[in-house]
Amino acid sequence: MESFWKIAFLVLVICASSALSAQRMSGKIDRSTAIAGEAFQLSYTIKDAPRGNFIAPNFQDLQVISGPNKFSEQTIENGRRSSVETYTYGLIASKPGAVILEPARYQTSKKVFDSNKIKIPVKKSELTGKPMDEGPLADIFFRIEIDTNRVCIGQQLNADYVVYSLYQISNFNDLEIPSLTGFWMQDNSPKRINPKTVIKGGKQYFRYEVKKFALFPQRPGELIIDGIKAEMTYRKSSGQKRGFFRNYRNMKKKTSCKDEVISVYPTPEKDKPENFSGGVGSFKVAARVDPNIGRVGEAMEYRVSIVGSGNIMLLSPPDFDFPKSAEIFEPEESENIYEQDGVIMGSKTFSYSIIPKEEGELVIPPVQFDYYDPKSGSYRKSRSNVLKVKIREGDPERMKEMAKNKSTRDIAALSTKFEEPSSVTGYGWPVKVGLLVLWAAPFFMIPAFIKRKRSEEEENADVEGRKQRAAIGVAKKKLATAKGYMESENRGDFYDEIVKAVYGFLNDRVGVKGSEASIENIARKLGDRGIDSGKIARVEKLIEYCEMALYAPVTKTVGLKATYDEALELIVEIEENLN
Amino acid sequence: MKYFSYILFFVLALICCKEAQAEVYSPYAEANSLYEEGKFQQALAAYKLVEEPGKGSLSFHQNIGSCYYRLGDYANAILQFERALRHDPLNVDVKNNIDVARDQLKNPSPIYDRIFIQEWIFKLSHALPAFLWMLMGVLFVWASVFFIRKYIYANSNRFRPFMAAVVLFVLSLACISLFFSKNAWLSKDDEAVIMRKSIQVHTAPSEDSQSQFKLSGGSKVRIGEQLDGWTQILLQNDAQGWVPATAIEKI
Repeated sequence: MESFWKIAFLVLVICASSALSAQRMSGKIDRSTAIAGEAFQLSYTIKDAPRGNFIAPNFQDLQVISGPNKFSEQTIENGRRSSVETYTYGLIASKPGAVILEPARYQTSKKVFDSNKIKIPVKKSELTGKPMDEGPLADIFFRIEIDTNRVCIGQQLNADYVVYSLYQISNFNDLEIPSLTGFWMQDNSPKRINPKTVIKGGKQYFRYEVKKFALFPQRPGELIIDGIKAEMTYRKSSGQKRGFFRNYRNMKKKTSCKDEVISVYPTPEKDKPENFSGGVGSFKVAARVDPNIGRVGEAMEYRVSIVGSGNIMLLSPPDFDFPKSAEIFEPEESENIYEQDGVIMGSKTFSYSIIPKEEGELVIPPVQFDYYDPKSGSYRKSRSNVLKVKIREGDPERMKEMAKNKSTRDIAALSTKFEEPSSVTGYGWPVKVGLLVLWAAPFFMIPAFIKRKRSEEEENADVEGRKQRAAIGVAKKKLATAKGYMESENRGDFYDEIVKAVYGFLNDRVGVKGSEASIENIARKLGDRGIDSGKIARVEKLIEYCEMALYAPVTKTVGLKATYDEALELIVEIEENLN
Repeated sequence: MKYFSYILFFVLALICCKEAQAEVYSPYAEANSLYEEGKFQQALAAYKLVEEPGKGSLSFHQNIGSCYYRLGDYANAILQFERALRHDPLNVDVKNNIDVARDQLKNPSPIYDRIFIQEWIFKLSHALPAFLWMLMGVLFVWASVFFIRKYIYANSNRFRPFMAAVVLFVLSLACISLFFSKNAWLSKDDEAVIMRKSIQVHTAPSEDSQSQFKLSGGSKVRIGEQLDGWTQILLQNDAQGWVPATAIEKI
């Protein structure tokens, strides 16, 4: 019996120790399934082991991208010391399938520990679009990642501005803001830029999403998501180890990303509903009235909300018919928009004030909202329910006021008078031309008026000429009369006639008017007309003599005949000279 | 006695003519009474009986438009009211009717009021028939030339005929301008009304082109070019686009 207990104890000890040794070293990966092309971590943990060597298993197809990184930890708890040592590898599986790793081994001077076998299932990568091989990659590169390059107008598209770097970036100093014309955009950029590790071209990169936009194209055609410039500070190891620390240096780099072009197609014209107002996505419309019992003349709220995902912020109020038994006013818009898993969702509410005008039941017909669903490529519609609201009698005071203010906008009564039907037409070009001719005609008469006026004036001017031409005749007549007086020895009349003849002749001939007639004026005019001064003096002398002979008793008598001859001679000579 | 019998015959003939006219248009009076009874559909049918293509009158178009309005067909109502306005653009009732009917449209085309000076000239030009403006324009210019003649022949006191001539000339110019302005209004036929309930206005004359905005039936537009069964429409806010030619009707 004692021997049984001994054996039992021994078995227990062996079991426990073997269990203990199995527990000492274990290996595991940080996920259940690895994905081809993506990095994962494999770590081996050794507990309470003395100093020894770690021997990694054969990694077969797996590519080691980092490690082994050793990490050890010691704790003292209740006087008991325990230690944990961890060896970590970064690995990439190159192809899908499963990899079974042989146990890793830890060798001390006294003992050998083995870990468990590790089975690593490897799935195919879901990232299909771009090939894994992108040629040689720069240490740091910047690009725009879009989820599609062909969208419908108003369809959401995500654009991420991403920096890939082999080194940790400590700071983005300067980031431009893209203009993104032609898009309605929502900025979903993270406040803190946290990196993710990804494998590109067999290297482990840090991936920084520096900007993230949800974009909604506003017009069809080619739209450009414009590249931006960025300046960043990163830490690069100088490769040397100085004591415990690695030597890092802060470096600066400026980089920029290239534009991405996307093509935007319009919503199809085929089957386009009449009331389509540009909603693209997936929506539901709902309507409600608040409160659900109203009174005539008191405002109620009628809310139409559109809920769903898509270009919700760009929606305009849907068209709907509203019963005539209530007045409806322009809506107030409110929206609540958020992003979930990169999809813009939310609701837009149009609240209308309505004022019932009639007692009884107010039946509001459903609101229909037409939208385009780019996923199915067809137009869809959503309808709200019919709303029935009870309307009670209104406040009598208020009703009176309403009756007063009621707008009497209605069409006018019929026109009762009968009018002969006619067509409304303007006058054509013959009438217009005729009118212009009639209108312009009298102006052609104006030159005729002017001409007539001129010829009359000329005639008036000729009176003077006639006088001049007749002057010699008149003078001769007068001289003839004077000759008669001379023969009858009538001295007074003779001299008078001579003066009249000379004066009259000169007046008419040189155009001196009666009021200006004086011997000086005549003398001056004669001078102006080129008569020599000798003759003028003779004229003056003759007239002076005649006047003297006329008014004063003549002392010295020159023969009448001489005076007559002198006058005749002067008149004939002056006439000749003037001509 | 013989003359007297001629006159009697003439007067009788006139009366007969009047009677005959009244008889021809009695369906019109009947239509009016049907409308007053609230039988708009029958009234409309009765109005259609007396309709003469291409002709009409203020009251006829106003009444048939009122029928359409009561039946809820605002596009036809506005078309008829606009036609009524062609006969008397200053009629207050018809203008009010158009405003009321336009209020019922969801997406009417924008209509801007004329600025006051334009409105004033417009009213003035419609205060007299076109031929009277023409007549006055010609008479004034002849009178003006008469005073020019006086001015030319006058030897003194020339200021008065000169001023008279200038004033008459300016008056004549004004009358002639008013005639041409009114005549242009009478001759215009580039206005139309959209007859479909609601229509998408396209950027180009094709169903495939993008639609840019919506217009409700009853919107008044100006017609531009025509192409392949499409008509270009021009709006007062300088917007323009293309609609199928069948979707609009000329005023």
